[in-house]
Amino acid sequence: MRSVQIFFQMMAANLRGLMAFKADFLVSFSAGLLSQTIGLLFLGVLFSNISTVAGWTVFEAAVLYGYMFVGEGMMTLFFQGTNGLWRQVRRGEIDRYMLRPLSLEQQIFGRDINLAGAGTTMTGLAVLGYSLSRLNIDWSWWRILVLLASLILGPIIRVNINFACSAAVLLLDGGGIKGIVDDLYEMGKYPLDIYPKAFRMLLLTLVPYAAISFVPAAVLLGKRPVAYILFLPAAAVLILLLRKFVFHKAIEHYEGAGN
Amino acid sequence: MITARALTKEFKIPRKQPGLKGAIRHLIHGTYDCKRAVDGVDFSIEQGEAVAYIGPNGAGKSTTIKMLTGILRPTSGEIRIHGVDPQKERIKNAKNIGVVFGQRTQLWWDIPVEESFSLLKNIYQVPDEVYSENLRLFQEIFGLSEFMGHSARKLSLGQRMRADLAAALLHNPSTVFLDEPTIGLDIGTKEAMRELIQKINRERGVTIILTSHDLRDVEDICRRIIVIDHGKVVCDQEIRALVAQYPMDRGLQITLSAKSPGLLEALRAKEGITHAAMEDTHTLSVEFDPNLHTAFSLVKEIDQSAVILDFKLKEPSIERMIEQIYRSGEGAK
Ligand SMILES: Nc1ncnc2c1ncn2[C@@H]1O[C@H](COP(=O)(O)OP(=O)(O)O)[C@@H](O)[C@H]1O
Ligand SMILES: [Mg+2]
Repeated sequence: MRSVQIFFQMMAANLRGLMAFKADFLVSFSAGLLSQTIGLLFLGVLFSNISTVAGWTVFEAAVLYGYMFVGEGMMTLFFQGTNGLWRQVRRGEIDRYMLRPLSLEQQIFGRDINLAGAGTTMTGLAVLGYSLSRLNIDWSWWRILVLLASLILGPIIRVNINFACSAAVLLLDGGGIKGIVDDLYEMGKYPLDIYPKAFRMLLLTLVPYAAISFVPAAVLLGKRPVAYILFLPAAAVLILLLRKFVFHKAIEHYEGAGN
Repeated sequence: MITARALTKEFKIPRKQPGLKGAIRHLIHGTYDCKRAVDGVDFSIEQGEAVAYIGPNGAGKSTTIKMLTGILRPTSGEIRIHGVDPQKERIKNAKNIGVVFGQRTQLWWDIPVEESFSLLKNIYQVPDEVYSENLRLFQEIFGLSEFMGHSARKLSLGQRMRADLAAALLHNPSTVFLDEPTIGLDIGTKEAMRELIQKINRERGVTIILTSHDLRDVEDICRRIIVIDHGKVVCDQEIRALVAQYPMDRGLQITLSAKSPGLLEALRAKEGITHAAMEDTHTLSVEFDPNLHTAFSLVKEIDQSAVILDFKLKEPSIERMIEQIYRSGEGAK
């Protein structure tokens, strides 16, 4: 409990640090809004010529975008520290974390707040809300439950994918893996059915971007049976364990920041 | 008590050919160069000691400190800090120690110093009375209040290092590691830093382990030095015993009324004169072997070819002593 309290104190301090630069505050917030809106334009262009992609209409596909934006936004907003671990190594930040009587994960999670994430999250929620309202969904209790669970677990999955990838870059001492994971992120914005089987499996298990977007969307829209939602908690547990494993290995290999 | 037994650290430096092909080959074969930075170091330090850990650049000082503080994993050997293995029980060890790295700040970059301190107070669970007593002491010696409201980013180096040392001492650690804490600082800040370190060592019995290139730090703070070279301990002694053991060349500083041609050459040609040079136009500096010359006989001799205005004997300094240790170490190889 004490560590939770310290985490919140760290976050509050980060936030106050940000507030000191009011101009920055607004700029990064709008940058978040803008960059996601540009992403949406692409969706518009895609659907201007064809009416459905793998049986999904434009509003159905927009639900996927909304989910991905929310995950991305929450990560950027609160857990920016999981990005670019190698940079933190080079700057000696990891050395500093090791000198403190706190777990390394806690310090990495609590490192930074980035307000661009607030813009992205709000865009995501707006896109999600508007699209769902245009889709005549019958909001039975289990659909509401699926929506809530996906909005909580989605960002958790997103953060852990990011963290695992960042740790893997450290471990393998190379950037190749980051490019691959970023490409998979883009794939999470479209219906899984358009990809070959191997990619579908990958997106549901090892790099489960589809569990953030496609799984809850397909269940909410009746494109998959209700039991399909089990991919969501399963992927969350799997990526959590994977992240812990990769991070542990990366720290085991840690050779310090040099001089 | 702090002990290191056969402590060794080898860095594996990846041997990669350039380009993608090299990266892939490296991934498969994984060839490494080994750099042994610390090589079988042994020492044992009692609670309350103040020890200087010194050696030339690249000797392995920082690497040793990083292993003692739990940042780096030793390749082999054993460390105990108050009975704790800093690698296996990093968090437990972290509670007992305070650490300052001269080149890097331990403070949060974007947060006011004040707020960093209050975070640290919470993290280390520092009781209110201890916290305010410590702040009072730091304020008295360091005058922290003038920049407590600024973020670390905005501090000058001198202010930042004062804040850093204070931050490292906030939780009353029983051992403090200082790696080049005074590097690049102005004299005033250096002296304030020394004063505080000395005070917590003498009055609170805090163990101090210090690396520094400024031997004034060593003289003022430490009573024992461990000299390390190429990763190995080449000397571990009380400073006082060391001074007695190294019958040093003595030094003379002589002020002449004018430059005297031929004098330096004549001095250098003599046996038992280890050094002769003009420090400036009027000041001659001579070092000699006390077994072959006395200061008086030399002054008398120089007096015959030049006009001496003044002279003084130079005390053997730790600096020259350490130079000798390095020199004798080089000779042994
Ligand atoms: N992270 C690292 N990777 C590879 N070599 C390192 C690393 N850190 C230090 N070294 C090497 O180890 C040796 C000892 O370094 P260091 O302990 O920093 O020396 P000192 O602090 O005594 O100047 C040096 O040769 C240095 O280049
Ligand atoms: Mg060093």
